[in-house]
Amino acid sequence: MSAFKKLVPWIKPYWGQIILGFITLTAVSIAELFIPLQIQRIIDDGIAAGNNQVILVSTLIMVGLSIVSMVAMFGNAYYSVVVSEYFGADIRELIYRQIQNFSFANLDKLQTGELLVRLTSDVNALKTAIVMVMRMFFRAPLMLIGALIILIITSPTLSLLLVVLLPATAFLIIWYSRRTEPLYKKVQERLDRVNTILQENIAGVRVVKAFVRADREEERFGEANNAYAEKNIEVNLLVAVLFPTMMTLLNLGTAAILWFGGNLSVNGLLTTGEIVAFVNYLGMTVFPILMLAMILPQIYAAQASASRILEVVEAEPTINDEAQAVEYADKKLAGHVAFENVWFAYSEDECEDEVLKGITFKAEPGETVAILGATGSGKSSLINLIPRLYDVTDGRVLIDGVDVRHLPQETLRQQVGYALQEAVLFSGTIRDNIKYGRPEATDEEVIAAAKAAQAYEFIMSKEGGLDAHVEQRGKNFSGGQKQRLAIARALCVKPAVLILDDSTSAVDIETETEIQAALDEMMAETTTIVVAQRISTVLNADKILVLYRGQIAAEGRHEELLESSPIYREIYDSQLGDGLLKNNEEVTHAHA
Amino acid sequence: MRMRRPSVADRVGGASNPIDALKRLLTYMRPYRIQLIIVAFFIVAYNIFYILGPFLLGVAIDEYIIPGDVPGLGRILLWMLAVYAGMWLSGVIYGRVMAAVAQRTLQRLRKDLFDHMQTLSLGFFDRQSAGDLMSRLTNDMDAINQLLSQNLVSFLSSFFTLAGVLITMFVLNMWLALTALIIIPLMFILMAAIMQRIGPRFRDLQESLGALNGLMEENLAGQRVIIAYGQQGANLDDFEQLNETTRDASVTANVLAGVMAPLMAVLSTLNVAIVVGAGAAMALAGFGGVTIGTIATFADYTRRFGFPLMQIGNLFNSIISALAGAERIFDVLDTQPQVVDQPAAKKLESIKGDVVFEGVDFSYMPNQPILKKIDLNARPGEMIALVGPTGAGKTTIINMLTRFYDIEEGRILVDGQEIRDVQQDSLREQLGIVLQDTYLFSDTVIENIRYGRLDATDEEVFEAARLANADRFIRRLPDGYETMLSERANNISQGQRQLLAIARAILADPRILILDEATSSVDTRTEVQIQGALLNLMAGRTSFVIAHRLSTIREADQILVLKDGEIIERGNHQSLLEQQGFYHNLYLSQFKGTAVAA
Repeated sequence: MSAFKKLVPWIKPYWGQIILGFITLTAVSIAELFIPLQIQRIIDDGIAAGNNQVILVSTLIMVGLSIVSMVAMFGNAYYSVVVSEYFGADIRELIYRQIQNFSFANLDKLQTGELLVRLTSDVNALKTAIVMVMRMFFRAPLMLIGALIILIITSPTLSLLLVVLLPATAFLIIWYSRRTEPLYKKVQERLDRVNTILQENIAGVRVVKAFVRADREEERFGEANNAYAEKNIEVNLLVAVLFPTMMTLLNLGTAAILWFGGNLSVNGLLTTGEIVAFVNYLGMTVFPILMLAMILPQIYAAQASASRILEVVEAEPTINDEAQAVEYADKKLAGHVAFENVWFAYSEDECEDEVLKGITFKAEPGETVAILGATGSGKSSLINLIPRLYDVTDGRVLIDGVDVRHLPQETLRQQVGYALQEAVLFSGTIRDNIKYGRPEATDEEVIAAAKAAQAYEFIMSKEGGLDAHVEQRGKNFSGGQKQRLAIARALCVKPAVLILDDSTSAVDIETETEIQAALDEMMAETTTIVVAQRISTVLNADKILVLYRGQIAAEGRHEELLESSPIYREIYDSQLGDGLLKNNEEVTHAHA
Repeated sequence: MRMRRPSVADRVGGASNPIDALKRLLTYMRPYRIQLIIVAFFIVAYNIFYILGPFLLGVAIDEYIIPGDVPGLGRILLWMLAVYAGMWLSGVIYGRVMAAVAQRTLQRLRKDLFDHMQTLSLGFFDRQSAGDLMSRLTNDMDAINQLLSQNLVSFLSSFFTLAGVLITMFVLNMWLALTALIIIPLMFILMAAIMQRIGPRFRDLQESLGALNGLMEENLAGQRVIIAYGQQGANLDDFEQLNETTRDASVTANVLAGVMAPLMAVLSTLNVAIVVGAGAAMALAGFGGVTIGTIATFADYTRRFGFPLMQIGNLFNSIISALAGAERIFDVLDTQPQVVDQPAAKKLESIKGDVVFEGVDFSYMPNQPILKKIDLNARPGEMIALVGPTGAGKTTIINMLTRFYDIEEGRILVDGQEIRDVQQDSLREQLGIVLQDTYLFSDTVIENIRYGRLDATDEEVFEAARLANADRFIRRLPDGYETMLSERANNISQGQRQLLAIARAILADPRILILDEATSSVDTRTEVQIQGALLNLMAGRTSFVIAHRLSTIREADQILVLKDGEIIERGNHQSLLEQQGFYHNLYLSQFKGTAVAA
């Protein structure tokens, strides 16, 4: 229950409504408890005594009671809905707000899908549980106690029957939930497996088809599907027994009341009306307990959801603004970037290797620094440190002489233009997407950015131009178009530091060259940092850093590196080297 | 999670209404005919026992308790016990049989759906969003589960109960029965009135819920961009607004819906009061032979009468929505694969690798031709490079050769056989494909490579990994070849994933090899390492290579330059440079600045 406890502070604002909910629930229960008493009076004092007056009065009281109960039930329904919806919305906001505080490191641990589950089905599970508890859960004890009191007053002797009946019911329910709870968990696990295979099959459909593996997929799915069905049947077979058994317990109770009550009434110790009332009250005590059994699985589910939600809420954002960061809130950055002996590892785990080991370099406004290196050499990790998407493990990253950890994240990031490796667009218009990082940008600025990114032409070919609709995740654009829009987005920020992380990989070389030329012009004051695979991209850089296993293996301009760095030479050769020699001849030859 | 369902144009053969969907679901249950007959029998039995209980109760009171006949009471109690036992037994039997039938039916439906999906062409998956498809397979399937395992039976049972109770009431005492019915029209009118009001509110709710889910889904997927641009504040504002709208819509809808249950419960209680009051008055007046026992029985019946009525109302909605889910699933089942084997399709026997395209036309959408009159001829063992700007149709050519789609005009021949006339599987078995977006399954590294050839030994897998230059990094992984891969695993990089995909293709040992940007995420140094392996692999095989980096394809026997769906230049590296055309420009642009530098 500890997971629920931790969420209590968020339900506190609604104590008033919760209490009103319980008051109305109590009113409903009391009203219902008094109805069988009226039936008893009608039978004993009305019919048996031949008194019309009593029948009329009791009937009217019953009508009155049911109206009271209806009003109270309305109230209860209203308050339960209000509390659950408001609480649900609050929790959803709590989670979402927390995600906004997340850093990349947090997102590495919690995938999009997992976060979405917490925001949707987990929140729903909590809402359902609140409604259930407010409408039914506490009704069971209320009805039980109320009915018990009335039963004991009516006939203490007959009440002894309950000593047998109630523990039997309780035992049955406990036994049942003990048996089913682990089964439900297993069912869920196996369902997850089924869904994973489905999801993989859809996402990997090209691979499945290319390798002609439909048979194997069918087999894999068949196994998971069968395993799931078997467990599901097991649980359902068990559940199918519960309800009839509970009903039978109640019926046996009725039979027992008739037998003992009948015997008592023969001796004049009990009236017929009391027997009928007794039968009614018995139903009133047992049914709420049955309801309890029905909603118990939902409470368990809500508990699991609560702990999943807490997993997000309690995750420490790994990057936070320092208290004194406020001082720099309005700082305008010029773009002097400096790395001082920077070490970095993705986890603090001892056995995890550092990705960056002692990186030191400088990049000045107007300069272009290119970073080249093998897969896994630490290129992306390095540039992620500049807008403080991750924190360094050791050393410092400085912008304009200030450690990025001292700057407010918002101030820092709004002045760094970053085109990520994966170009993610948002649904909306093209214009919205380009000015995403600086919503106040004018149309002229948007167009200038689009032109520089060589995106203007295809934007204009779309219906609506800048107002053309972008679908979720930019589905209606090709990979190369998405990348160009992402570059335009980065440029539109008018950044002090521009970072391009292999952001032209899907753009053809000709267009890439044009983008570069435009950038040289537009970003004359900006510090540009480029990660690239193609050597053609880095040729004109003011400085090229060659990364090798987390260290700067060589540093300099293209021609210097060709001389001094064997690694650079190797990369160069692999791409154009020997071709270039031939090529230069060819080209000259061809031109001649 | 509810996905927004865009109305897709490609729905083939959509079932037309809920009744049809229900009929089809029932045909799915046909193998369980006998079980279903058993279920029906025991539902009826259960309801008879259910009605007999209160009846005997009344008899017990009137005939034995009031006259004080203890032995008689004992006898009737034995009868009652027998009835209760029968009720338990029939309840357990129909519940259990139905549970098994429902789960078996669902199991088969899921399997059929999955197997059917395996036959669908790539076009289907390209059009249908993955989210929408998953939603059908999970949410809709869940709704059918609810329907079969609970709602349908409850619904039918409620009708039986209703009918049984009504009949018994009239048999027992017509006048009291009529009294009990007075309130029914009122119930129906109220129910209809509320339903009418609830409907639009729930549609509002669905709409704003859809918007909220869409926003969360999209923004979470783009959270890294949001962070990188420091836009969390604006993002939060959008969210808060929608979150509040949704909350308010939900309160309105659910409060209205919450009115129903108390109203029905109260009407039911009211009915009991009326019946008891009127019954008592009749008993006193000696009218219609009403006795105390009758009243007790009627009090009970009246309550039992209200419950199934409420059930029918509640269940009706969820049954309709479950059937809508079933319709969506049948839609998928009814979708015909576009690419199908000819009835007389032969198996493509082991080939040499000769590929010919003759005047091939193709378009994904009508009037938007992607390929125009493509001709090409790849002789066994040749390397064919496809070059050109994004959107020129390079990948589409691959989609034609693999027959992921069928061409519109022209012919494609492999070893002289038209690929339309051979079995798709036998064609693809001889193709090895490494794609732009590498896909790995949540399984171990070794199993992911083995996917290329299921009967490969461990040794063969290691050898393929070595050839793809993947062996070294795999051995450095925490569990080596037994390391589990998953979406979540960031222990392997995009480039490493591609190495695994290449190892997988190497293991498959195909006659025709297709590399679609296979090395785009691999850095150039690693690419050089792989390239050696790939060159070995390509030796003696026909290969098609798509690459942006021209260095990769210099060795190609034929380079085809594509632009806007047409082959505008063809030749080898040397001859294309000499043509000084598009390729020449493309190639030069790669070296802009080098001429000065070198």
